[in-house]
Amino acid sequence: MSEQAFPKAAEADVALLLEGTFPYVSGGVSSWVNQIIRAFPHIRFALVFLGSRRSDYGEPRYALPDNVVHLETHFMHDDLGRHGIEVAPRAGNMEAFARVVALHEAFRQKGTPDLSAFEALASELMPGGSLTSEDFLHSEQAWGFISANYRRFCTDPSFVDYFWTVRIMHLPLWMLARVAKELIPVRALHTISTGYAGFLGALLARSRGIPLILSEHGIYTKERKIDLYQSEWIRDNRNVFQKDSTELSYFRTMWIHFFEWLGRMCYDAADPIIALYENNRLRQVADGARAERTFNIPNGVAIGRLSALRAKRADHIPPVLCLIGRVVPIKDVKTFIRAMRILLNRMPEAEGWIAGPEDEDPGYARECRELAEGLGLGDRFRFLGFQKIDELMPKIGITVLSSISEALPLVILEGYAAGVPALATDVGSCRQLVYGLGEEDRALGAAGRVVGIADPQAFAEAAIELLQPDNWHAAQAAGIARVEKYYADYMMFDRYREVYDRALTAPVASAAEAAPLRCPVHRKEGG
Amino acid sequence: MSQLKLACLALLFELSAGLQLLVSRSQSDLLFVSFLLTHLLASAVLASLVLLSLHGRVPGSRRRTWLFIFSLSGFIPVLGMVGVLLGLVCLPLLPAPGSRSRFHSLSLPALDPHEYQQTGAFRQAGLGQFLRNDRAPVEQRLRALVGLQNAPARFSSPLLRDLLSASSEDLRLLAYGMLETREKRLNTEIHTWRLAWQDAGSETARRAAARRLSALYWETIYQELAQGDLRRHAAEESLRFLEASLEDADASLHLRHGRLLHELGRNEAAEAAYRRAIELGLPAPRVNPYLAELAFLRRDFAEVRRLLMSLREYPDQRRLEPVLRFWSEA
Amino acid sequence: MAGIGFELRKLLRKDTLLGLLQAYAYAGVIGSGPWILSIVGILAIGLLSHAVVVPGVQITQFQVSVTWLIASSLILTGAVQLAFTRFISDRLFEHRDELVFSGLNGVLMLTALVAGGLGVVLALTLFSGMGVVYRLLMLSGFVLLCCIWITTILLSGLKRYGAIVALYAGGYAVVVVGALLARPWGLEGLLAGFVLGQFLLFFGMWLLVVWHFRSPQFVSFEFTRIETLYPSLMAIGFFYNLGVWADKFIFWFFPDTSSAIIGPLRASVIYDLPVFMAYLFIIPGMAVFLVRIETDFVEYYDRFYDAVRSGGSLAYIETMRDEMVYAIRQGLLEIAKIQTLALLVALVAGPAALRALGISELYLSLFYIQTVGASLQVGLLALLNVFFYLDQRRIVLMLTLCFALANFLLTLVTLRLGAGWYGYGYCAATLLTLVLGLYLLDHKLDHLEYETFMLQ
Repeated sequence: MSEQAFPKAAEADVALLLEGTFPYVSGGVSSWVNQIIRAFPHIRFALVFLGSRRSDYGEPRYALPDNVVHLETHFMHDDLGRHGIEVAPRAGNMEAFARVVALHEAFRQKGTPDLSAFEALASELMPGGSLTSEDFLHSEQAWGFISANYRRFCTDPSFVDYFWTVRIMHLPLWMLARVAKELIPVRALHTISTGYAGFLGALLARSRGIPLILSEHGIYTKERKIDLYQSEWIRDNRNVFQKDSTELSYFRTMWIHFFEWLGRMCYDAADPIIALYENNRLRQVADGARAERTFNIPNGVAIGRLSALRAKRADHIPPVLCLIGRVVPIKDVKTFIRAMRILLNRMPEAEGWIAGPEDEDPGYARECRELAEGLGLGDRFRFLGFQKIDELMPKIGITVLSSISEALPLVILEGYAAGVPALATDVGSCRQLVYGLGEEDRALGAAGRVVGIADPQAFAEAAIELLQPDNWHAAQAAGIARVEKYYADYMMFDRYREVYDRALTAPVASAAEAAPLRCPVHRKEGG
Repeated sequence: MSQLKLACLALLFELSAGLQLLVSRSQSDLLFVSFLLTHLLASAVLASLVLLSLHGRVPGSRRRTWLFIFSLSGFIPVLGMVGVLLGLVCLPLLPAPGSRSRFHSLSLPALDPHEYQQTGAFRQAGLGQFLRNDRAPVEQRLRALVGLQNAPARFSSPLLRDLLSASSEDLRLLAYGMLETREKRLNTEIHTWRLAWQDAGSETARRAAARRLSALYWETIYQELAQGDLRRHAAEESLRFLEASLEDADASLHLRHGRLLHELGRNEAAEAAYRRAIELGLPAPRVNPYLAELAFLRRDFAEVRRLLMSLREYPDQRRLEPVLRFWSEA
Repeated sequence: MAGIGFELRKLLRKDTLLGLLQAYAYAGVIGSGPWILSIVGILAIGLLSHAVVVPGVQITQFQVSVTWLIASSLILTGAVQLAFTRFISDRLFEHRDELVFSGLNGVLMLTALVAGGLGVVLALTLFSGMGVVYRLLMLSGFVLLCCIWITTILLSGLKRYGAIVALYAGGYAVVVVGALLARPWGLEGLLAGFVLGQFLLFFGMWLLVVWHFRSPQFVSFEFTRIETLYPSLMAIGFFYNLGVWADKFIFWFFPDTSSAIIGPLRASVIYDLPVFMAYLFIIPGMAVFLVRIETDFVEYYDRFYDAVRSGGSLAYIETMRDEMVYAIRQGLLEIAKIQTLALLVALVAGPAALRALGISELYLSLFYIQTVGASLQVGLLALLNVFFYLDQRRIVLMLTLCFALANFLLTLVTLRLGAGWYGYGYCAATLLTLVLGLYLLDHKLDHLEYETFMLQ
């Protein structure tokens, strides 16, 4: 679909703010977004997709539902590569930068922050504001600020890395401010993550006085941390004399703080703040969300459609372990591959499948294939690419998840509904999904097994145990009971219907009330 | 037209040009022009002659080369022509450019004063204990964990593995990231060498790749990265590649051979390999402890003592000291 | 949660912070160095022949002819010199060494065609009716000098200073010896010696290039492609050479100060000799300048940009900037010191020298002020060089334009003011440009890090 073919509308009901997900990236969150849009055909959705660079995404992975009346895409890092343009020196707005300095000073204070200054300054990013991206990029004021901060705080000696990290980090904010200014009129906002999308939501909510709903699947700052812990790219330039070897790279810390603050601003503007399960809700509160605005709505799956698949299953238990998901590092596919080596030593008839696209991180996908080859798994291990759930489910014995981080994975629920038990690592809400939350839930029994992360031995042993017919049938029954009782999609839709109704009928705040510079006292009372 | 004829022609033209000057001492423009035209004609013939004489050995465009010779010879009367002929003679005689001096002097690296801190380093005895202590502050434990990056993998890997089940997610993820990075590095190298092994053109290359692969698989065991069945798998692979590349002369390879067999429980073969390593000149302190371990497994305690006591002759057995003391007392 | 692919590594494009700059700047130094050598050679021939030779007029005719050849060839090739050196250093940076030799041949060919064509036209118009041999020698000399300037600047861009000096010394030795041997043939003889020496010089330099850069291609026109043409460098080269010669031309054409020497060529006896003698006194300044800039400034310059590109700390980057400033300051200071010494020598030796040359001591003050002006010109060269390193082509263009204009206008003014003021125009023009350049450099260096990072 070319950009010209995107649906455009003059106005819409709900704007969905999507950072790096639906409709360009497939995966759990995208499926969930798809589910939600289709569940409310009477609501007209406007989609705002935020990506890193245009070239990082191919064609949309999902057909747009009819009630998506508007779609716009923005790429935050595309304009970094401008070169060869002669830039004239400029002084920069002194007053605006004084406020920037004060704000960053405030960020460094411990304790509960007052976000009004942040919000006030954020509104200056908008076109026509006093803080322009040109000033940020080229002014002497900005230079003074950046170099002073480097001198005071940066523990990594590489100034060029610091400089570009600051640029890359902040530059998208101006783009988001422009998006916020130009977005078509909507009645409510719904962001699926904090981060840059959450920041956009907060900007929109504050400047237009419309409600902002936040549904967080993973916890954004946590996921960024995983990216940052995993990546070797963030160089550490300290030499032996400079290195305090117990200190994390300054740039990692900088990124994490940055996203924490974006998150705070989003939490401050959003109501309600929805998590998938209790642990995540607690983490939101710890990260600055007000407890009274938070609650959980777990994912749900279409029981009716999926339960039909149970009839298609063969009589015996297929010795097939299938990981349904994208081949990316967070899924720790390698642990699954290693576990398959152990499993095959003991159960030569077993098979391991991976059903999911490999194009998101081709380097990692290649490493996985090499590992499978190196371990001599041969044709007992297959990379299937993207598969239709309905065709896949009847053929597999266990849905596996070896992730190092998950929220509330849909594939486990889909497996349950289709009569497939799960083997998962102990992350996110997997333990809750397998063994049950609460007394009543636990009484339904174990719908599979949970093992520690990155432990192929335990993973393989649990698989062998679960594939024993008795264990397997018990787990299947427990899974079916659990998903039907707690995780049916209509339950989720009911809850979201309430959320949308409340947001769409909320009185539009007056411009004065909505203005970001309102009195902090009122703001506190208003809640 | 033959080269000789061309050469004669060029010479003829140039001579006639020169003759004009000698004959007529006039200062007329006509003479200037006629000389120049004759000379240009001679230059044109010369340029063609040079191209011909090089038999297409002139690289690049012939037309441009012709024009180059023509213009330089043509607009520098007489001397230009001499230059072209000189160049023709000189160029093949030029010696190959000698290599520049092989040694460079280097200055001392500059010391960058940025953020040089003398204090602040994390000092904590019993790092493992501290890291495993769930009640210690996460921030401190994170720093301790980062500090572990510089510790030898053999010691830090088990610790990192323990931390995969830590209650703090930050710790878990960082530990995972560190372990994963190590495995990734080794696996990438294993893959590269596997390809090299498959595509090896010669027997020597194949043996070299096999030896390297054996060492890499051994490294996954040594760094405690491979666990359980995977450890066994790595040992088998390492052994397979080692046996494909085992050279009789290399004692340390025989030691590793022994250790792999030992790891796989093939104790008698392991013992033979150890003995071979000693025969090939490996010092006893490097082999005897393993032999002693095998003897212990056979419950041949006299032999264990004999082997260990023989180590007393060697200096600096600090790490083995408690073991030696135990067996000397027993 | 899908998240954005976070591989910002790809986004960190710091290698493009600054295109790597090479020492094409040296062009400036050597570009004027050789012609000083040339002047020495000409003066030497003049002095040596003075007593022995033929009618003295012929020596003057010879000197004036050669001076005109040098001036006109420098101005003609000025447009190509810098741009071509930049082209070569860019190719070397890309490791496309093979383009050095073929590129040189391409430029030489173009130069020979243009200079030769122009020479023939002039020979048939302005020089119409003069001796055919004289005309042919002048044509050869003109084409050869043009080729020499270009090859010289290429070699100096490659930092082959030793080879340049050796070849020049050899070439001019041949010139002097040849001219002395050919004295019996008068003007043509002297000129033939000159042309022969130039020919050997050029041929030697050309062989040196061939030897170092073997190439599969013999001639290429890569240089004339639009993207490798640097119009600003061409303009700089042209204006600089024009600026250097502006006052001389004016004196040559002003009726009161000049006379026709041979054919259309004029000279100003009262102005030329003091001026060329003054140029001899800047040789120590040039040497100091070369050493200072090459060893100190360039070292810190390299470290500065290295630190910028490869992750030095800001403190380190600033230290390197300060060291650069210090090196420049030291360099200029030392030039000033050594030139003061040279001036003192000129003060002492001036009267005797003028007497020896048979020039009225009335022109002593002209000689002094010219020496001051030439000394200032060394400083100006150093400054331009620094600007070249910093890739401030716009500033250099402005300065050379200013120099050319000021020299032209102020020299005209001094001609009006009378003989007592001769020379002050040139001196004031260099001083003005130098002060302006220093002011700009000061500002530039103050904002160096800001401009390096923020204006991209």
